[in-house]
Amino acid sequence: MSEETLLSMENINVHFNTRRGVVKAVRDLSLYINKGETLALVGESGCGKSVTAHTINQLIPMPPGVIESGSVIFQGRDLLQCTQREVQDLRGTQISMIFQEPMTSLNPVFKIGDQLADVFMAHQDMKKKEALAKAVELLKLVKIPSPEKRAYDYPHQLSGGMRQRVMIAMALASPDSGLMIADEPTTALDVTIQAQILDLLNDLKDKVNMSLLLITHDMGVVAEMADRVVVMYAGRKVEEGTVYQIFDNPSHPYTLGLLNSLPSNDKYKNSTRLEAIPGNVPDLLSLGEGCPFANRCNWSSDVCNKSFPGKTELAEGHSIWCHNATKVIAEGTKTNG
Amino acid sequence: MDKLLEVKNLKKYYHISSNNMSSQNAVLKAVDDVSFDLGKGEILGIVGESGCGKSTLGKTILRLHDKTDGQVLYHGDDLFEMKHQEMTALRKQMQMVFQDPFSSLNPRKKISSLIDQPLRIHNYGTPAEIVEKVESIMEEVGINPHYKKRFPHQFSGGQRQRIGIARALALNPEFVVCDEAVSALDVSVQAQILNLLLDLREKHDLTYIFIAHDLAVVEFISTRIIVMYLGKIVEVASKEDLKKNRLHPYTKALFSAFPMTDPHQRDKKEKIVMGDVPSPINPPSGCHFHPRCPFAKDICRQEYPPLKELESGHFAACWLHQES
Ligand SMILES: Nc1ncnc2c1ncn2[C@@H]1O[C@H](COP(=O)(O)OP(=O)(O)OP(=O)(O)O)[C@@H](O)[C@H]1O
Ligand SMILES: Nc1ncnc2c1ncn2[C@@H]1O[C@H](COP(=O)(O)OP(=O)(O)OP(=O)(O)O)[C@@H](O)[C@H]1O
Ligand code: SF4
Ligand SMILES: [Mg+2]
Ligand SMILES: [Mg+2]
Repeated sequence: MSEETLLSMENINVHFNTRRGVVKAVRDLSLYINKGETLALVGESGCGKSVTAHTINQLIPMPPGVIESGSVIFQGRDLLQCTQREVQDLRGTQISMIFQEPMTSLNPVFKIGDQLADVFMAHQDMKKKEALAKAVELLKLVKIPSPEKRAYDYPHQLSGGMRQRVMIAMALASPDSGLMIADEPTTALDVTIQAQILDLLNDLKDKVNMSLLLITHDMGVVAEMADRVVVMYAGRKVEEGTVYQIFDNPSHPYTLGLLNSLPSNDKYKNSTRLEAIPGNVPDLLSLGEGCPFANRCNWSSDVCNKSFPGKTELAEGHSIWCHNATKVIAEGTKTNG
Repeated sequence: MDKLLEVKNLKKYYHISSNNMSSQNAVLKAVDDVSFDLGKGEILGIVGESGCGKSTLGKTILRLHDKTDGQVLYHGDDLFEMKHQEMTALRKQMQMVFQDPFSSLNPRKKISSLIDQPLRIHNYGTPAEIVEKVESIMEEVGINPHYKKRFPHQFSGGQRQRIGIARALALNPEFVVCDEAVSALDVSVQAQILNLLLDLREKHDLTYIFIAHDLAVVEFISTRIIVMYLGKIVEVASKEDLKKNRLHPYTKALFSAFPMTDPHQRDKKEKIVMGDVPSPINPPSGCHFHPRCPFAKDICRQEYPPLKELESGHFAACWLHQES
């Protein structure tokens, strides 16, 4: 890595002890985010994206959750060794988070201006009047029309898109947002509003030089936003690369299948059927030590069910975790357009 | 092409009791003067932002609730003129598949009794015939009949959607409205279900209305596409024509907002800035889109543009393309 790393997670394992058994939600996951960059974390529902984000923030409910092992190094400190208090301070100042459903994270009984002002007063020792002025400034930054008036609105008086912008404003209230974690920030919104929010995030990233961990299952959003991409499947990282490496040269059988499943793929211009991945995502409770994709994979062999594969590096920064990497790379590109 | 359905000036209004003191009832025009034909074998996609009236239109066409005004002719007969008995018989022909068919179903019922329910209601046959039918449909939608004694929660999202489709197909309908039928599914499973819907259409000669907010999905599966805005159709064209030539500024803006799955395109794309959707109660005067439209002229603020055939089979409601 030539650039400066802001956050790195090493060998994270997160389990949940449930009545049905131990759910291994995140297994041996390592990833890093450089300063100023957007890292997209993609994968199907239940693959462990939110659990990964919550590990950074210490928002994993314990019990039932257990962070079995690993480290989360942020600006030289291991967040997993910090006290709850220390992490809370970081959450207010250098790590911020936007959730999928803004209504659940805004308090319905307080005006949005007051809620924003509270963030300043809590973390920056500001007087109410000054904090309110800052709040209005932020509402303007996230392009809420007539912010002076809107500051006195309650959350339910805003549209879904505006509420999501207020959430972003809230996340930006920290003095220098080092890292913003956005967990499906536009999934509940119309594409027209989504486009505005994504634009806004890109704008802000340039303005305040923050890094963005963008969690999504939408490959369109990834293509539009990401610098680098980590692809997860059933708790594991299976491919990692720059956004161009992932889209131009997808190489893990799952990533290949995922991109082939998209109806927007150029290869379907004149065809009437999609190349779907057969089968369903496995139940995390019954997963063994093998490759979690083995039961749906065209290339799987005996070894795939026995152990999780090691890393194969295809180019600088582009790796896959697959036992049959050589074979897949030779044959996989043929099927991909 | 045989006309299966003719929708004529269909309106569905809701009366909303406003919660302030004036106690004046507001009217929400969820579907407002919508007309179109549907040919046998077509897959007609309906797109538009949340709240534009897609689901209301789908349900009104099937007479799942009352209309406010207009007609829906099914093979030439007005659905809303039909007696209860005629309508019951016709129900077999017309079905709907929802986003999650199980959220509204009894979680304590086994899959077999969920699928055979429509068969029993419509007196499909002897108990043995019904069992046979259930198994053959399960097979057809890709669920092992072995699992018929299981309960909904024991299936994955994709499998549940297959069961929802099985239920809709049990009575051999000829017309199915799919309302966000694949929206809740992961992409890899969504592709399976889209293929299944296409296979079933071929095999059973089905006609679909396909409602979805994912424009790539609609562009893939549809033969023709309707674009709706605040209760009205603003553009209709064959999929190919709409791809080549988006006439209505709203269609352009909507499709340009949709992210392309090619990172090389991201800086080349024309960005169209649009504000939020206005309230559907008291929508803007004239063309409802004018406050968000970069090309709005005087007439746009005054008069609603008629839906006009501008090229063969390609309709748009926009003053840029016609004189008043
Ligand atoms: N509190 C919990 N108790 C038990 N299991 C949990 C808990 N939180 C998460 N899990 C499990 O961990 C796995 C990963 O969940 P996670 O929320 O990270 O998925 P995700 O990738 O964010 O999915 P989605 O796209 O649906 O948001 C899932 O199988 C989930 O059921
Ligand atoms: N029963 C009802 N009573 C009052 N208003 C209703 C009712 N059903 C729908 N509406 C309103 O009618 C309009 C159209 O709703 P509809 O559900 O048809 O939209 P849609 O296009 O399907 O949206 P989405 O993409 O969110 O599903 C909306 O403004 C909605 O709030
Ligand atoms: S390790 Fe085996 S099962 Fe997993 S992706 Fe590679 S070939 Fe397929
Ligand atoms: Mg999640
Ligand atoms: Mg709807």
